[in-house]
Amino acid sequence: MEDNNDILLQQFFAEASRQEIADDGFSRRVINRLPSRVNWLVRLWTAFCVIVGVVLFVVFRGWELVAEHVATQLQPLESMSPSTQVLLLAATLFGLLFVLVGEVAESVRCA
Amino acid sequence: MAILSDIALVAQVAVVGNKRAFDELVRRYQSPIRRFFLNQTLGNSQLSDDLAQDTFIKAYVHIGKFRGLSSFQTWLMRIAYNVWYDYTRSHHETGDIDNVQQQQTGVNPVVKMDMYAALNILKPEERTCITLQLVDGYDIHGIAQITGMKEGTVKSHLSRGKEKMTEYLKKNGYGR
Repeated sequence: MEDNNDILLQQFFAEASRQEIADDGFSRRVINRLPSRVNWLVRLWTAFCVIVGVVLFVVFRGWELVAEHVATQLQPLESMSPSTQVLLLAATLFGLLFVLVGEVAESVRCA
Repeated sequence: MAILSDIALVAQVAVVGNKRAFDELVRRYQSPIRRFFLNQTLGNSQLSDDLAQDTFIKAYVHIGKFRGLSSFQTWLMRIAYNVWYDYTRSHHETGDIDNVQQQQTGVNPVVKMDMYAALNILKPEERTCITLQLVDGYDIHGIAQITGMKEGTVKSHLSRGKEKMTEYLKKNGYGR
């Protein structure tokens, strides 16, 4: 008797169990309502790191270290021919342009 | 994207907040989640969609807590059950079958109305256990995982619910 009742219930719910609900824009509405996952704690930590970086740069006179490093790196250029210097400059500018265009394209895509 | 497993999609959402990966998860599981709410609300499609949206938003916010101990669908269903539980605690039960808003989903509307009318005679816990087993196909262990009830409690809700349902169906001409 119990088995007959189970069969009756299974038959009654059979159609409902096969029912598939069409999306009809539901997932789009969910995605549009999603909150930003960058919470205030992350923003606070980023701001803290930037401030610490700036303070350390000033305390240790970071600009002097940077100038010294750049001068050391540019020393070998003096012994090069003018055409090699122009070639190096062009390659550097092209590299910077490549990165800049990539960044702009990425920000436009995300927007 | 279609061949990626749930775990791979969850990892993309949890690590880099990939909304396209989450969109794929919503598309995969919107049907069982919305069906669950339709059964609990006795066919109120507007309310069901609102609760289903809340479920997916909660899943997105807390996706880092998914440990993979159960399937992603079971984890989602547990969130859905909690959303429904919170809703019923803060609102009066939607017991009036006359207010049901039918949704066009391809199922015979007469059968659906009969089903919601039959489900309306059950207590909310019995309705949840019955629909999770007979519509969504979960076993007793799965229902206990979703609802947080003990397996013995699930069994007694199922037993009482089935008894009421068969009596109601026989009175209304089913099973002859």
